[in-house]
Amino acid sequence: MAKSIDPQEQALRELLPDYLNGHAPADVASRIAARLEHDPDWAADADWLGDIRTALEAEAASMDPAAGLAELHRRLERPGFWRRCYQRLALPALAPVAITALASLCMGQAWLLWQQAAPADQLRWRSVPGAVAQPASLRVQFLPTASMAQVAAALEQAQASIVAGPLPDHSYLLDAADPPAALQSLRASGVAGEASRVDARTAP
Amino acid sequence: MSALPVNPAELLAAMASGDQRALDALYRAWSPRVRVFARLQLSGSGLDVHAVADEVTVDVFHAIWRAPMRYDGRVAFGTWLLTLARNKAIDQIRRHGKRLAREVPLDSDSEEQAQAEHDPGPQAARESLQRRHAVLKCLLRLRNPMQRESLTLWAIDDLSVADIAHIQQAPEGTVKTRLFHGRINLRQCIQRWFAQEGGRHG
Repeated sequence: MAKSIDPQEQALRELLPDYLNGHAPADVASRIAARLEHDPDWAADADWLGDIRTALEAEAASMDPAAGLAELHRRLERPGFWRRCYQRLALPALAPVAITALASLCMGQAWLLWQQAAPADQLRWRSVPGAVAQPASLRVQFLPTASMAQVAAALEQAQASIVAGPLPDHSYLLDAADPPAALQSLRASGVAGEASRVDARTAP
Repeated sequence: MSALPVNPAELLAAMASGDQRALDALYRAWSPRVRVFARLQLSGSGLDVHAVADEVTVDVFHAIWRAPMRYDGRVAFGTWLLTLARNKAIDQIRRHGKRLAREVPLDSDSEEQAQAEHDPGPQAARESLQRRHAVLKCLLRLRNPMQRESLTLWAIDDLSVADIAHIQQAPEGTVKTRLFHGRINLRQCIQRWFAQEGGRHG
């Protein structure tokens, strides 16, 4: 090993492992085959490599895969993390805890729903803050038999418009450009049951 | 029962469809090589080489069972499998090695001494067995783990230099050098071993 080696010879020798494994290109293979045939040092080198292969192959062949295979099967049968969690939760001892938790959740949800429904009972109509109410000059109670079209035509003819209503007594407050004329017109229209003037100070 | 395919790619496809018999066939065919490789990888790590190598082997095949289609066929199956085994062995060394390295000297010969006590001796064994024993001992003793790994990969699955370079993530020239110097060191070790054994028993 102490003698100097020709770089080309060295490069060829480094391909010996590939040659022995059948991976060397054809031109390289023929050159190596010639060396192995005529050079005892090359042949010895190939023998050492052959010894390594033989030793490892024999070692592998002596191994019985049965124990490892049994261990592998044990691992495959062992449930995964989430399955183990589920199984733990599904234990009978934990059933009361799970039921109590679910019942608490249902009760909490019911209480929240009841809280949301309660304020609806206290709803009240209120005037829009800051808005000025239109003045009413007439109070009219339309006949129940009058249609919407007849009411609209009577209001148009009387030049009046609804300001508020229906009030608790089923009457409407109207604003008219000429209240006396409008009152007369409405009474004559045949759709108003009761109609009267409203004093602006007593209007609701 | 239908006959199982022996082609690793076909076995992996069968495993992907949940056929556990394919896993068994793959394990029987390939686990001995993985175990030998793992043992040689773990030697000198201070770990319980046999136990951890067995664990690594099972880990490798368990991982394959969970995701058999991770093998995409871009490299030979043996190359892919031994890469997986190499990574698992390195993980084990990283996980336990540092702690154990403080407790056990790296060049501990305790295992070899224990084996030597149980050796029947060269006189009782055949010459080929003795030679095999010497090769394995010297492989375990190689101080450069990359030389040991290169020689093991070359011998265990007839891998080419290119395949070994792929596994070791190293240039092919580096692998050639490792193989060359590895076998020189191995040869010297074996010659020394035979000289010692010859002196002891001769």
